[in-house]
Amino acid sequence: MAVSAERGASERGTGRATRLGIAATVSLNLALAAGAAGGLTWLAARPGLRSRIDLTAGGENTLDANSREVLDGVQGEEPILVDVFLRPLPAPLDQISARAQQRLAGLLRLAWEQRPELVRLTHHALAGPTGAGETEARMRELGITEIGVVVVSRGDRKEIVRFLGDVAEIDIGRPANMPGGYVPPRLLAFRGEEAIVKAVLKVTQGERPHAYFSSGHGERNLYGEDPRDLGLLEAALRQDGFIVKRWVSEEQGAVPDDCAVLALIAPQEPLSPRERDFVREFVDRGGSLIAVPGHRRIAGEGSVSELLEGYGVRVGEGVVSRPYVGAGGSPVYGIPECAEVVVRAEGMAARHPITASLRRAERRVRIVFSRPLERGRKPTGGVLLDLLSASEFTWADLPDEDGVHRWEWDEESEREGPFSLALTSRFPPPLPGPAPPPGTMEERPESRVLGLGAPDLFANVLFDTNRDFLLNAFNWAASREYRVSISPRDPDLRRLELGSGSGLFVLTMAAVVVLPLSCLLLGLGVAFKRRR
Amino acid sequence: MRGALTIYRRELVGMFFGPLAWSLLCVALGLSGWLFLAVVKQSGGDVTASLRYTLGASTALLFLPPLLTMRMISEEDRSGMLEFLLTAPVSDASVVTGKFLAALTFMTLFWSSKLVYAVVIAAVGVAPDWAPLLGGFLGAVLVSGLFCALGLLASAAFSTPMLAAFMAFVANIVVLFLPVFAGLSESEKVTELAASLSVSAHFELFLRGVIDSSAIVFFLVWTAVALFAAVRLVEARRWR
Repeated sequence: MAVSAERGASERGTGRATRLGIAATVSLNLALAAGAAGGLTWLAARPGLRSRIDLTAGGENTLDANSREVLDGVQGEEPILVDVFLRPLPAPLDQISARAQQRLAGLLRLAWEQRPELVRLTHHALAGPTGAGETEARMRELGITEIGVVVVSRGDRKEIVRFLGDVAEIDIGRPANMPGGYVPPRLLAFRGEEAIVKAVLKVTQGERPHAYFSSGHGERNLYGEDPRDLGLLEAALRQDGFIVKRWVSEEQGAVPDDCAVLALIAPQEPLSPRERDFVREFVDRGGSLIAVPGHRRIAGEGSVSELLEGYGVRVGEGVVSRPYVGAGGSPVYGIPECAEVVVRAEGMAARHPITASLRRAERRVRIVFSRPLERGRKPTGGVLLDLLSASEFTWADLPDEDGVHRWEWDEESEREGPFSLALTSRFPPPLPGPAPPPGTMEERPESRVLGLGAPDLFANVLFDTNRDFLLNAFNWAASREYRVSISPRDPDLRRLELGSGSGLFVLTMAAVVVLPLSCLLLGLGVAFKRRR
Repeated sequence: MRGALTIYRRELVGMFFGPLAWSLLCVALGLSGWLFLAVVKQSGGDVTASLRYTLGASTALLFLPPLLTMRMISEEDRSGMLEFLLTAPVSDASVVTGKFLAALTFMTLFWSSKLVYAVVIAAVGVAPDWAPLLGGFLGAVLVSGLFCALGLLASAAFSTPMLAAFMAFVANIVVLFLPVFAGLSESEKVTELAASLSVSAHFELFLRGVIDSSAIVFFLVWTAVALFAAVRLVEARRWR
């Protein structure tokens, strides 16, 4: 009896030990397997080993190539913080703004996916008690008081991207009780990707580049609000990260050392020989020049025409004109509107950083009273490129003896299009230059000159139409090619008609009746067969 | 492999010659169809968004795999069938793999109903964006695979089907909402770890129409781990 009890106790002990052993073995195996799985998962997420295919027709999960390049090019380990303070706008803009904000959130997520180790994305709660205190604290930390913004920051630099204006333009439509009836709100433009990428560039690039506008020769007022002034351009350049200043050679002497772009916009008087030498020296040392002659033709020494000719851009005679399209589509001659030329995608250089994105987005450039430009003798080692071209259905209208344009094509004396309206010239700087101006992305390898024929292109009156072209032009001149506009993409919407007599009935029948019922019938059939 | 196929066939026959699979399919398809139509109406007829939403409906993911797999091992253990299976000339891995494949086939059948919706939508004149839809379908199948594997693990770990189903359901909730739970912690490392192990984040890539190699690896690897654990637990039963 004693022996039997002893054996039982021994078996119980062995059983417990065996079970513990089995449990330990299984646990160890599982721990090793989980560790291996964690390692494999980590490895698979490494950028070099990870591959990704966007299956959507509109490429909605893929950033623009320019955006990817910008994000990939960000140096350093300091994170880029993206703080989102957005909530839908009040009715009737609630739905449309929510959709646009959703698109923006998707883009921000793509940016995070592109550089997850660098981009820190935080969506702040703006409603309800949860996280409200944290949101307020972060807003105070960033020094912002408004909502409806995305703040991109890195270190002590920050850039505020406003939902309305920078990201989205929304037409509020018309209420039902107004004359003309109800017009729903609509999204006029969505520039989320462009706005975010620009903000990233602004906080990650070097110092802000300086753009100097020559002054003292009857140029347009840089800060003015009149239709012919340049106030809107100046504001847009500042918003785009430029420091905009005037260059008055009488007071400042040579072009300042920190100048990245010098703009000579429609001077009404020629530059003095000394000023002309300053400009030439600036360009020959690797500077960038944007120049456009004024309405009043000034030729000879110190004129913009003479300056541009030195870089291979010749300003021609006359004003580029085209038949105005009147009522019924018939051509109309003899009116000043003939001097208005709209350059569409086909008239833009396909691969140039200034126009490539505009072509893709099928944007237009509106030009009035432009002189035709021609290719002259290009600088040594240089390249000339027609940036904007007027079609063959244009002519260069010449003034009559009294200096008045008739806006009629005279076959004998006036030349036919096509004409160049903007020409770029790039060439290796013939003089050794100082260190590249702060704000440029890399050491500048070339001098850059952009010659344009139309002074009003820069004016407030045309600025809204030509905004992207002008900003692209200054960014190119400042060697900030990455900062070009990025074409917006429309979401790929496929909608089922929900009205009566639509496919919704067919879908309802299939989804709620036919599919479940067929399963039920099959199940009953199987059960009946088995019973038999 | 042959053993796994034999078990797979046996499970499929058992599943579709019994009332459970058809009842589950009928109810799941009815609810899913109702949800789909509600989303279609809510979104103003946005076909792509509706199909994506229905594919991502986590309710089906939470409930169906546990209900399917709860009996697969625990019930067979209770009825003594498992002992018979384990003494048959098939490996434990084949038994688990065969059962897993059968459950996954059922889930694939369920998810393919969304493709039927898409076919119907195309037939009434609105062609859906097929490529991302198929990507989302692949993602749903992969997530279902993971949840079926977890269900089998629970079924191997617990002796009663209801308990196994409940534990699998809890496990699914934990796995699916891991980042939410991790968000309760103030540690950034915990949040980051949870984000890297987030089923919903990886699944969301498929739903957006992205085929990401890391997401595929994630699901395959963790499914394999859960199946491996299930095999070890079945083996452990043999040693008791």
